[in-house]
Amino acid sequence: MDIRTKEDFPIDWEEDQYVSRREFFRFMTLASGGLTVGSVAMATYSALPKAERKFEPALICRAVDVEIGASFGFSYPRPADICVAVRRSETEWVAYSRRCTHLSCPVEWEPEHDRLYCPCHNGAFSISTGEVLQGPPPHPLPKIKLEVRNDEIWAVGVFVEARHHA
Amino acid sequence: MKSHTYHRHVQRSSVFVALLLFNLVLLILQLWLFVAVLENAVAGDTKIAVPAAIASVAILLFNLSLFRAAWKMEH
Repeated sequence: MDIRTKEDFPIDWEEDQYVSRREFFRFMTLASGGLTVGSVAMATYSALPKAERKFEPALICRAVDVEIGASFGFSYPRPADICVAVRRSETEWVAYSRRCTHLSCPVEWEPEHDRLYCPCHNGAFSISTGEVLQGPPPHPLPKIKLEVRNDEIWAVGVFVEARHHA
Repeated sequence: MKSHTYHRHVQRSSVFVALLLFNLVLLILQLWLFVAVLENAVAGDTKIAVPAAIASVAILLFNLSLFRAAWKMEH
């Protein structure tokens, strides 16, 4: 290679493939910016109010068809979202998602223990609040918001309350 | 004997590498914070998201100042 060419192209082809320290520094700072954007986006998402997710109301049963202390299954808000409702008194109705928050086994109403029980791993939830009473479930059951309209029971929303580790 | 310019160059290079490594450590810290936020969000707990975002912004500002210092040193 003559001297003139060496002056015009002082860097060899192989060396040209390397990332310089300056470029690496710039890349690291850009990555830092990207992570900051992600963190701020997560913080913004977490700050959005989402205590209650609203869905289209759906008729789930007529009050006269369910005895006090009895339970029945229904799907809400999507057909795949299985739920269980319990009539606790003449006027008190509660409903929860039927999927255990551990591994999604369907929970069962146990009137003798006043709880929803998951037979897969011996988990149990309070019928009053949906909180975890025992077992491996990490979160409470999502609660379904119900309304009584002219002797009919309607599901009108899903509460997604702040979750607590058991 | 090495010239004064040579020693200055070596010192400058060492300082540049030190700034770069410090930047790298802060970036790893930022990555750890972000992963912790994501893991907690998946578990349904978003309490740490806002403090982590504030810490992340602070680290970015510090990283930018390091980058500026390195840039000034080289030019």
